[in-house]
Amino acid sequence: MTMPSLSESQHNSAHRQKVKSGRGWILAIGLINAFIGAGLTFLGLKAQEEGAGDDLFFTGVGMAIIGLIFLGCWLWAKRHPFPAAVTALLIYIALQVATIAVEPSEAVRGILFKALFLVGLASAVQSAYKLKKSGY
Amino acid sequence: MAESEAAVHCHCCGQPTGCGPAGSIPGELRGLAEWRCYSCFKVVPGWRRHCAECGSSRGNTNSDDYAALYKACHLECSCHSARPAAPEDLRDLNHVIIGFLIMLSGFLLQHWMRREASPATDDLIASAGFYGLIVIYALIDYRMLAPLFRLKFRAWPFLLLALAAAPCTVGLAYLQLLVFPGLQDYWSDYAPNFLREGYGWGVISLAVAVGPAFFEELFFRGVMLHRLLRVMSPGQAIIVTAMAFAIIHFAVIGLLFYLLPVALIAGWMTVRTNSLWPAMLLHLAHNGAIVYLEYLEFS
Repeated sequence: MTMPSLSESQHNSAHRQKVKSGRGWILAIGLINAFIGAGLTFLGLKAQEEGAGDDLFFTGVGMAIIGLIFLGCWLWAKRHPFPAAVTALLIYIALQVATIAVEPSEAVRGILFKALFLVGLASAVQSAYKLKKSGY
Repeated sequence: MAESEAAVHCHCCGQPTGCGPAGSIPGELRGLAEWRCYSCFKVVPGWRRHCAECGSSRGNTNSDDYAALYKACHLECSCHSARPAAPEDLRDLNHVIIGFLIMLSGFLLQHWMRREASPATDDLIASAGFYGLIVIYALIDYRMLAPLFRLKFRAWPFLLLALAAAPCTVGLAYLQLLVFPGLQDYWSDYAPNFLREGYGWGVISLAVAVGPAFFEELFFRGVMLHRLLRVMSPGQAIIVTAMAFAIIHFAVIGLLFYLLPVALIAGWMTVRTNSLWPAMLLHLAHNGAIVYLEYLEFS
């Protein structure tokens, strides 16, 4: 059996590194959502006790669920990086577009991080696809 | 050995790979290891012209389009020589993302209109425009989608299974009310807006149950699932489609209880039967049950 050539090994190693970095982005988004969601849920429970509405509580629960979905994608990406990255990218796009549609002023807030996450996820999808196609 | 089954040699190390459509396709264009039949989703060895399972040649890019084959060409042999994936291969994924953005804008428009309590007539007109857009987008994949509208005999048990979604939804809703009575305040009410303007339950059923069942399934289980099936395994494609379907509805409570299970089952049914009708019926039964629950509430 012939070993893969050095250039191919380097190529695949670079893809694998990008996929790993993409997993990192998914984890980061998941943790941010989960932590903020948990915080809002806690604040919402406090607000409920004080007789305020449930909106904060349900927003928190929603964010926590989204965070858990991203964490699920992070776990999935260990074995199957391509579909997990595609799922994370679609969910992230949906959330960002929805946020902008509901509150246009939110579009600019944290735009650098949003752009970074988006580029990281898109790059992860591309690398995972190339890695998958190369048969590794 | 037949000429078409003759061994193909790796372009890198010269070793025989045993795959690839040899003979009729010259030099560099050889080497498609396998292709997926668009009719029955079976993986077919690259040298075969027709699927051994159903006899279809759909999906066999090596039979008619040498240029496409060259882009899709993926020659693997024991030396691990593999052509780098051409960027054109990601077209399916780009197509999925563009379609997803169109769906997203339509859903957000509907959400916004319902939240702002826009007149039901405007809601209907906007929905019609949105569905028209889905149809136009689906027409791009007409050749791929046309076989999915055939109802094969093997799909009948799945149609019966799909109908079971209606009692399951009603049962789950009552169970949810028993366990979390406060959640009823957060259920979406579709009917009041329509009833206020004098529309009957027939129009409500059409707008809430029939329309979404047909057009959403056309995109998610038709266009999206089948585009993704070209780049990933059926199980993975079903999960990705289901997640996209669930998240686009922006329903926190419904996501885990209703949307995700419905989407997963619909995707599984579509892949198993190679028909869109069971998934559409499942979606219709689920949405129909919601309309029924609203009917009970308002009558």
